[in-house]
Amino acid sequence: MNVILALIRRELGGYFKSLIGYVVIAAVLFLFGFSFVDMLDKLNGIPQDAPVTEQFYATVYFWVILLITAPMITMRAFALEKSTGTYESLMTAPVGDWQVVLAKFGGTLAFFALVWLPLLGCLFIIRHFTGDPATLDPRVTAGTFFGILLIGSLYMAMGCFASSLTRSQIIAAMFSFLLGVGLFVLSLRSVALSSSESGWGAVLDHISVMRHLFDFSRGIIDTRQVVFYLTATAFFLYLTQRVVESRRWK
Amino acid sequence: MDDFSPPSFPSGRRLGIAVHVAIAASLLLAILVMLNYLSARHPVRKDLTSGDRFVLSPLTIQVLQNLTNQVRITVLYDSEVGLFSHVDAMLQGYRGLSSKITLDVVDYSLAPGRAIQIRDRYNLGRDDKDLVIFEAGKETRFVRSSELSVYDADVNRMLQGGSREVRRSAFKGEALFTAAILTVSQAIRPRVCYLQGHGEHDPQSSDQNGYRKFIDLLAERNVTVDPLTLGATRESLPSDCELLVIAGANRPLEANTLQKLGAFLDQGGRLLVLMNVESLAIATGLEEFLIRWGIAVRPSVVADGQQTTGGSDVLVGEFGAHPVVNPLAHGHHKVQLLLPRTVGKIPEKFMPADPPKVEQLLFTSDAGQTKSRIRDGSAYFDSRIDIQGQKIPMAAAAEKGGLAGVTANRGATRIVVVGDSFCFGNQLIESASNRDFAGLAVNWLLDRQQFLAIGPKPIHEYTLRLTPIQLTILRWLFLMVLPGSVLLLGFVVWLRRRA
Repeated sequence: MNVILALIRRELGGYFKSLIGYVVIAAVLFLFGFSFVDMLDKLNGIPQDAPVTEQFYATVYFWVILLITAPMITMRAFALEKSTGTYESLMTAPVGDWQVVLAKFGGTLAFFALVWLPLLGCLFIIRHFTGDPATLDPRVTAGTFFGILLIGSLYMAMGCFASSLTRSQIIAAMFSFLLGVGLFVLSLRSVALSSSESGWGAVLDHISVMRHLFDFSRGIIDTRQVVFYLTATAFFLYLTQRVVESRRWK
Repeated sequence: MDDFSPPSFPSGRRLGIAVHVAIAASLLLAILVMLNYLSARHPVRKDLTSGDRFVLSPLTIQVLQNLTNQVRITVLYDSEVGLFSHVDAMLQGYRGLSSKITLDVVDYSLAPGRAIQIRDRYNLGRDDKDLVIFEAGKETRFVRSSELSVYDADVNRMLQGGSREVRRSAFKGEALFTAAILTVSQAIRPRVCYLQGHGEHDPQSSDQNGYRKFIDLLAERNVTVDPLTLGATRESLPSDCELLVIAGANRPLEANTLQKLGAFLDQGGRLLVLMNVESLAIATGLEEFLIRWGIAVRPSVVADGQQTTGGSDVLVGEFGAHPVVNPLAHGHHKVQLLLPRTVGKIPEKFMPADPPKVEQLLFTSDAGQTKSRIRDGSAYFDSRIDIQGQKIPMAAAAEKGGLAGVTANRGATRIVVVGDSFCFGNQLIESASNRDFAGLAVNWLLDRQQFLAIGPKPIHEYTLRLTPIQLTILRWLFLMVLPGSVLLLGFVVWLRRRA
């Protein structure tokens, strides 16, 4: 466990020793800000059934931010190590493949959580300016962040898998983006299919990340969704581990 | 994808390992799919909202767990429309509780093709939207978005000439959805008879005093409504009639009609009587008939100087303790009556032997007044016989246990008498909470307790009220200060590491 924690610390440090970590956080903060300003302009003075802090997750901004940041965070996980030559020394160190994979995943997920943390600040600022305590229900916010973390874990696992396949960060980012967008498009496709009449409709409904976030943002935790994210994350981590392991038999 | 290490195994061995990896990955995938299947079959939903916004009532849970028929729910909604979030979250909870429920959510703005298919399937018009369709076998029930909200008009403020702002205060979805599931999944439709021939409101008329909307309301509750004339030839009421409605009779009922009515009630029949001001000068016979059941319909009109919008109406906000009005009382709702007659409980000393249990339902405020002197078609206060400055009842409900061997099939006799019949007319039924009152009365009379106990859930309406200065501050904060400070920090760290 200590090995994994040390590797996670090393991974996280990598983001903050260079400008990349700060640029990513600043860019995400700008996108948060832009989306909130746009929403405040549109909704000011109009009665709503849900607070702005909940409506943000139903907008396209959320998905733009998620789909762009996930590849940016994960592209360097394995690909950077391979391109700079530190991968060899890492893999010859007394650590197992699973420890490396879990550390890379843990590091990216921790950075993902750090990137989304300022959103909480934005929500508090809006609550302060609206003067309505009901705008920010702490339990709903906790549920929402739990959901974001679950969705993030799947996207980070997909990104780590993409990064493990190549030494090019650009290719890793593009492949990760493709996987992320693919899952998003399947969610959109579920809108057009009946979940009660077609088997595919039911499957797409089950994996619809948009629907899941819709529930999380309303403070609903559904075991179906939790199981989906945990199992899908585990599957991509398993694939990543097999790719990492493949250097021994290729 | 590139290779990091040069090949070190013969191709046959590599192929073998690759096949092994593919089989292991497939097995893992199969296990994970099975886990997902199990979780989908046995879902658990936890509501974290402070007010338990989406927690379902025990009655709904009981109804869902006892479902034996397959019920298909289709939500035809624009996800941008208000209340969609509540509708969707609640129905997802329904689906999670019963494998007999299938749920389709169709956003007609995102999936117009599917919306057309659904409209064709249920013979809906092109403008029909924002509704929930419940279907089981051949039974279908629609719940429209207009039915889902409870609005909170600050009536007192309006009376004082203040704001006319009407807010959405509660969501009635659960009561309506559960009722819809029950109605489509139950094969037997109760029969309601609507008495005609004594000047009653026309059940087919769409005029403002017609009862078309009231009849529609009954039909929505999976009830068959039949007109009934109790002439000399008919021996009694139909044996399958569960409820008789007498709405606004203003001509005397024949003696044999009252006799048949008495026999019907003795056998555990249910009766809804709506009196009105037009029968004030003419005794319909119901007044005397109802005394036997502990209800007094007095020859006076009720007024309330404090709770009225125009003088002739009474905005009822005082309710008795009874299942018919409890939900209205808890929700601080109002019922609007037009020139209601005094309807109350007769004094104990005049009660018949084996008296029924009578509860008064609607009251005026403490400024109530009766007017019993009729002159030129108007009612006036008569200080000798009329009363004022107190709460005056305008509706009552009576219940009497069934007689052994006589009422075995129907159970207890139930009667609801309201001093005004215009309140359920096409115009006034849409006023205040009159529609809810009508539905609650019918549900109680038909012994559909499950329709009564699920109250509306309060809704908080959010309105941002930011001044232009606040908006400017927020723009600067969100677009410049926050991202800029992170960039600055990163630049400082980069400079220090470079140095």
